[in-house]
Amino acid sequence: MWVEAELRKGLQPVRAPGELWERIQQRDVELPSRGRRYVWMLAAAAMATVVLFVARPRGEMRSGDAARIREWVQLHTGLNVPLEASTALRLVGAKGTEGRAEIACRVGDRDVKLVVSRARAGVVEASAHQTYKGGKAVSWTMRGQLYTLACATPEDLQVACMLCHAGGVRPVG
Amino acid sequence: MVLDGNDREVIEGCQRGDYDAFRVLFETNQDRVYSIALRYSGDPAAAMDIAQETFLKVWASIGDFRGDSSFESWLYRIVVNRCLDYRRRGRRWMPFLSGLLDAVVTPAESVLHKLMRAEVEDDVQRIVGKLPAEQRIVVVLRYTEGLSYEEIADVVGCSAGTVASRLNRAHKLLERRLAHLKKDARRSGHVG
Repeated sequence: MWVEAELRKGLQPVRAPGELWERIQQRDVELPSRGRRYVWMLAAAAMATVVLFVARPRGEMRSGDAARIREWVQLHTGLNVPLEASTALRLVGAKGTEGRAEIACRVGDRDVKLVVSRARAGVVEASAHQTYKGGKAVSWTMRGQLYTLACATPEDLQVACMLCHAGGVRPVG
Repeated sequence: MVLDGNDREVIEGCQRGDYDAFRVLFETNQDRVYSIALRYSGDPAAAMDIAQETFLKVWASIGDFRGDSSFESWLYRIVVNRCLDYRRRGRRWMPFLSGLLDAVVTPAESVLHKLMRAEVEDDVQRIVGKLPAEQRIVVVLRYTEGLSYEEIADVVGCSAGTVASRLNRAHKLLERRLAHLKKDARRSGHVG
């Protein structure tokens, strides 16, 4: 068809003018330029640093394994809680943020909670008993960490000591 | 068309914000984009605007390209939309004279022949420029880019049958308007 031949010749491709790239770069306002990209990359890196090292996101895990919980707590809160495996109680899991951990376990059908945080500077090792939501709680400091153990009954406190002292050592106080 | 490893690497580079990768992508596709813009608009200044907007759009949207269709189809869609948008904004198209000017400045024995040829091509471009937008874009994709009916349908977003119908109507219109070229075509053996 003659018209198709004319169209092929009349509409053949052409080379783009050399200044097209310059034209695109002139519209730098709308382009994420290298400089601005680096700023964004730095900002993203800074944000990631904050998230990772300053404001660690809340997290929690479920496990009945003392070693696993201890490892998770250390990783997510920076606290070293010397948990030990014990048959007298059943570990449930842990949750925590930087500098504070809560470890949950059960004695029979009752909940026991161990809260660990960094002790304020200058606090000497001490302990105190108090009532906690109708149950019993005992707090003490040890090696720069503040421990609070909360249980439903005084008897459970004795058992809960086995969280860290599988041999059954009484809590301080 | 399936992306080869290099194309994929370039596109992924662009998606990561690598400006050097974008430069490679531009170099690879600039003639294609500019040709469509020029043949559609018939105006070098408009074609520059369209090509510029197309690449800016590509850079801004490359993150949305998922590879479900070919990169070429995705790029064609952008340039086609830029063409249609540009036209809708009511820019005034200037007569297409670059071919004519090229012929005039060629100092060779065939100046007269080139001048005549440029005049014919200028006629074709001018008359194509008067086609309705939806016919013109399929004509440009068919004869500038050599796309198949199916490929055009994919880019324009219609069926291959619609593409065939638009091309058929365009051919008939162009045959009437380019009738004065038919005699020349006969002489050069293109009558079919």
